Amino acid sequence: MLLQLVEPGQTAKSQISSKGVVVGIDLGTTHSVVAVVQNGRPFVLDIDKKGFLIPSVLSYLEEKFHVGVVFDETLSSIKRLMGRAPQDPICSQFSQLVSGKAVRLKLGPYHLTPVEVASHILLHVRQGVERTLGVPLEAAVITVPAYFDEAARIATKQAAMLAGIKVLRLINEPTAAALAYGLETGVEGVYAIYDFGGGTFDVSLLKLQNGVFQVLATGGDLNLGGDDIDHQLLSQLKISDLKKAQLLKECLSNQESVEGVTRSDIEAIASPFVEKTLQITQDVFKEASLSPQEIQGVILVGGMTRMPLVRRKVETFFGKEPLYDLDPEKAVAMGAALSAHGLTYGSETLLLDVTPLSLGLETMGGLVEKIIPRNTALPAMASQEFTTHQDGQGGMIIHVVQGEREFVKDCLSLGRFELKGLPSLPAGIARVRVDFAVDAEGLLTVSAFEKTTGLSQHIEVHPSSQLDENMLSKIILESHKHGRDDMKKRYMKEEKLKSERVSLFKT
Amino acid sequence: MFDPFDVFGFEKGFFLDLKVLEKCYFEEQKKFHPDRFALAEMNTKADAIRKSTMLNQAYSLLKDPLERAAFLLKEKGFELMTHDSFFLSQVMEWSERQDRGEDITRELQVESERLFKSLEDAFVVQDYASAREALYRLTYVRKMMKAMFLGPG
Repeated sequence: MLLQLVEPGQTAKSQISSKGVVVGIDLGTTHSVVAVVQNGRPFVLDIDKKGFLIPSVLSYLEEKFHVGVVFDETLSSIKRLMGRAPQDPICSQFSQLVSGKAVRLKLGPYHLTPVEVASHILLHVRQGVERTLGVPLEAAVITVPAYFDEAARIATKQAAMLAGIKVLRLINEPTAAALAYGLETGVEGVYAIYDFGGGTFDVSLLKLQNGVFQVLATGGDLNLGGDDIDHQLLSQLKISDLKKAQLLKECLSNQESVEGVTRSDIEAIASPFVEKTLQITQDVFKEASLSPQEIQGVILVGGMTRMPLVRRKVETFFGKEPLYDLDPEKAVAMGAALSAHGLTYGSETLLLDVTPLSLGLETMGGLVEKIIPRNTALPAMASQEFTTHQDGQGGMIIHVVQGEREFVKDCLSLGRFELKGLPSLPAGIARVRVDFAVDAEGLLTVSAFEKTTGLSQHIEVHPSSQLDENMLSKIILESHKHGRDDMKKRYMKEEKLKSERVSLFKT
Repeated sequence: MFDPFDVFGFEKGFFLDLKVLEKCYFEEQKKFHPDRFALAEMNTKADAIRKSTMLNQAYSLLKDPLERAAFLLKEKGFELMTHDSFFLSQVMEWSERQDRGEDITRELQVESERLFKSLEDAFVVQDYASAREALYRLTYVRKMMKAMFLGPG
């Protein structure tokens, strides 16, 4: 089949309603930010008339949900739970956790999944945008940490879907920030994006050249953020609550002492966390075979980079003064808005991203066979052939994992499915080819074929779709409730089909 | 068989200007990357993903001289070497000295440069048997260097 070509800069504009608006959403651990492109420039929106930072919190008061305000019953830092299983150690940080098969948090009379909580936040953003601009929100680009795994990416998309937002694409936060810098300040060359936020740390090396934003390597830690420093301040300085710890940290970024606590007190506590980010940064440089001296500059992103300690240490590490021309808390949303605009109306800009983590399969003895190594350019595809280890073996379990470690038990399990009905052959004769395909947003599809007999089987699985059927029907129900147009319904149907494939092959 | 040279319309050969390769890669991706088809029909999108994936695979193979050499040798019917008994004694000597705490970084660097030169020379005179041997050794030396560079863990 011939490819239909659209000239760059001429993406089919007519397919989207001219009345709607496309936005970029930075769905952050502590705050969310939404931005829109007007006259070619990105602007953040102040949807609640309280400043552009929307606290990523969901409260319940007087039988109603409230986003962005803290009451007695409030859920926060929900991003840390996206795509996680209840046995994940991170869950212990949440006092509202309800025991069960899936992660659920108690809020008022409800037991909400992280996807549902995030969808409330996104719905608030959608309604706020529509109220502020007076037009429907047509579609959005949502940012995720570069280091987000498959499960967390899918969960983010599901949350958007529940909120009635069509996702044009997920993009990685550091890549979005680079886009904003590249397009707004015109920088070119190889840059490091050091993104230290409330919940996560990401670092990416990008080459910016002639409108191409090529990610060379990326690394990070999903559980390393300002939140963790606040928890340490709380326990080490005997502060009464987390909110106070945050405030103290922020005040001490601008003055030397507050209420008997000095800047050096908190710097001593924060220092090991900052050291850890620099260790990760060092590893990313090694991965890209570059040194900090070889790059043009370092761009600071995320609220934590306001801390003088962070700026100082980053400057020492790179041997150059970091850039913060753009507000570190706005850059990601601005980049996402530019991306949304480009995807909808066409653009000369191109993002070439990579897989943050290796994708592989379980083989004999609990070992991992890597199929797509980390830092592979997206979209990517790779295949591997496997065979049976017993005579007449009729089936084969295909267990898909993500991570860098050698053993399956140390990697994240994305899902398993069974290839059934293999022809009865002696051990080592059957030929099963497993294909991995990762699209430009980092979402994986796995297929398997049995080749020897010509009776090939084909199974597709979207391993990280964690929708169970109850949740699925609820999502469909909700979507009809919020349902606005056919495009969205079609989208839901596609998602439903995808997740049905998963349930079919659950073993 | 997947031919990375064909993807970019390059003539097959070991010598390749990386700047030209990168320029072509960026230009082609600007045309075919799935982001160019964000609002297109599923079929069009799927074609774009296929084409863009192929560009990534071809670029990643061509930009690495070792992979480029391996492809060309296979193409000429020279399967890659899996052992080299003469070279093995050299490797054993290196690892023994490493175990004694000796720093062999510089020596490996020199060896790597020397082997790369012989790989190039072999391709110039189309001596594929020598190219095959140089490639095997060079791959090994580079692996050792990478392991030392990345350090334990």
